[in-house]
Amino acid sequence: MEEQQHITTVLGPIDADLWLFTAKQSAEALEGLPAAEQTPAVKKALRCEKLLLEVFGTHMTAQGAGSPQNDTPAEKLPFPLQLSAEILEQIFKLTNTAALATFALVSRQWAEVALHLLWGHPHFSLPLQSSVEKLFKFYASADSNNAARVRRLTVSYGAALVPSQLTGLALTNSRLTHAMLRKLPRSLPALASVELVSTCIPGNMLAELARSCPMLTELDMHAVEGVQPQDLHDFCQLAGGRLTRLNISGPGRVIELAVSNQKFMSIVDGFEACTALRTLALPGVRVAAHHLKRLLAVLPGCLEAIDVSNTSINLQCIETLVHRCNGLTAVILTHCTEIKDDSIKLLAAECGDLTAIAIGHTETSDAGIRALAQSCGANLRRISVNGCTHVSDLGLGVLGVLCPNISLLDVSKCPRINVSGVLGFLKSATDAAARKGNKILPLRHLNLSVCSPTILSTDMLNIVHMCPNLRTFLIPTTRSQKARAELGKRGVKDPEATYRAFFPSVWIRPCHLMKVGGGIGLSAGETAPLF
Amino acid sequence: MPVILQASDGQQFTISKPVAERSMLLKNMLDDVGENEQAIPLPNVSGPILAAVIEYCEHHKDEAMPAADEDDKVFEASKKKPDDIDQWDADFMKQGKGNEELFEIILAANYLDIKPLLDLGCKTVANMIKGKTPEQIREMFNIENDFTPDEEEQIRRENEWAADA
Repeated sequence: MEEQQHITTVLGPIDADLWLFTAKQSAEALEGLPAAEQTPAVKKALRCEKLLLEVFGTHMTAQGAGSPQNDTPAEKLPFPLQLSAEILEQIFKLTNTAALATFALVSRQWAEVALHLLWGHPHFSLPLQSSVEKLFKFYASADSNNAARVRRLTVSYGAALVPSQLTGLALTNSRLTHAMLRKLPRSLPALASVELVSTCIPGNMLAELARSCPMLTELDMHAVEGVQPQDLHDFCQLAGGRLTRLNISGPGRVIELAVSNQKFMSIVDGFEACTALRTLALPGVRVAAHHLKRLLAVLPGCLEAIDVSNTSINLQCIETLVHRCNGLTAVILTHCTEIKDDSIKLLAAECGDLTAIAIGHTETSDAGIRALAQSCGANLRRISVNGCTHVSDLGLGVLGVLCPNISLLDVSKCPRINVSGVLGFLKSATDAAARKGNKILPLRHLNLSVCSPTILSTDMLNIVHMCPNLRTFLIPTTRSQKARAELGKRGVKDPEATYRAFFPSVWIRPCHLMKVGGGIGLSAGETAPLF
Repeated sequence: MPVILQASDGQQFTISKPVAERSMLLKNMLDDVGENEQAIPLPNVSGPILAAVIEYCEHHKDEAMPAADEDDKVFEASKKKPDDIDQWDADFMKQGKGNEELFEIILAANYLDIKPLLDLGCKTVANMIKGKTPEQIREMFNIENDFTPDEEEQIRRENEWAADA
């Protein structure tokens, strides 16, 4: 009864009596239940009651009378526990835009995290009328403090005047939308990254972005219309010193336009001003090799990743590129038909830091692969040789021996690669990894689709057994059953869901441009997650 | 060589090394100090919570460790779907665990650096708070509403555009 007296002094007579009385009564009642009724819920309730008794009891005896209640030892802190902002952010990223607006109303801590996510990367996809309205609403509120939270912006199928072949829709409020886009940079001064997809933008918007957004370092333009060579030139001149990522892809044709209008030098000048560039993507740019060479000749030495897939790039261009940028870590040359072993050997010799290379559908043969393996060795992590008709089991074997850290391998559509080659690669890579002290082969993504018809489902199963880290596995469906079952046991439910890992353009894409989970997005028909 | 862990309440647990190494914190610690018969004190984790964490690690001890290379940042997003939870894991999170234990497990997973368990905890909370009102969430996790009415109204107004997205 001594304990009760202590409690009485702290909590006042009625409170304390009530607490202890009800807790004890409930605990006894719950304990007295027959075993059959000791459900998890009952056990939980019992634990709660005991905790109450324990907390009050030990606290009172340890601290003595009169201590304030918040002196309770740390491990006995009653609910609520605080989750850190970091953990909250991880949780919030699993939900959607509407949910974030709700979470922002829970408490100050939740608001800070939710608003950061909500405003950090608005994503506008416009053909839907409701999205246009949302853009208005966003605008109406963007003059508050929240505008400073907007770091990244994506506008896809953005403005009016989008050619009907792109969207199949003609928007009528064209002038309005253009006016809004023009105003956008000034409203959002904290922008660091802008992505424009299948959009027609007002010509001077790029220069306005460069002027109004001093923190802008990344620009992605995919199939963007309305940009004149002079606009790109002005943008690069203004933002070049801080621009780290530039992506001009899809049928935007600003570079092609420059060539045909004899304005090519303005593009070259613009590129020359980009002295901080680390990632450059110009996939599918349709200009002659000598034009490409002039662009490559002005790139800064700090360039790390380049995507010139599906272009006319040739040996002379590669010479220029490696001369300027020998610190390259990722090079994408898929569908470059001029690329042969001599280009690859040169690239390998000068750029030993390469971690990712895509040479699918090029003329590369085993000799090129050997040069890469010898030069890059353990640095190499991702390699795609899909559709290389000259690469055989031999080249694959060399990769296995010299490059044990490969985590992504794409050998789809390689008619000269057989199951023995793949198994040989895995065996050598496992041995090589073991020599380096890695117990487990790091290979996570393997593409064998449209491979040799001699591969059987038991071979597939063997491959899975040899790759404990395998997550993405593309194989002919007729022979995938056993492999899928085995992967399923490891918790990999759909080994094909992450197939986009084999799109090399994704390798050099910043993580924030990947749709994560439900996506922090606005578009009503939210696209499926990228991975 | 077994590993001995001591929870904040003094309770001791003896577990095998592979189980302990699910925790990056313990793995690094064991790598640094080598074999040792002394108990490792974990002052931030209580006995019952540590028991639950060990149960989880026991069940998953034979699985490949998630690689920590740069790939993951790019390719792991598929795991981030909140409804994609393994049946055993779902049961593990449900079994007699209240919201308080759930939070404690998340904090312990964070402290012990057990990424899959942290992910699982986050997914579970995400599923719980989806579609709930701010009031329901506050009640569920015993969170105090520390807004002034003006602040609350301002946040509501400025983010209205997102609420019906």
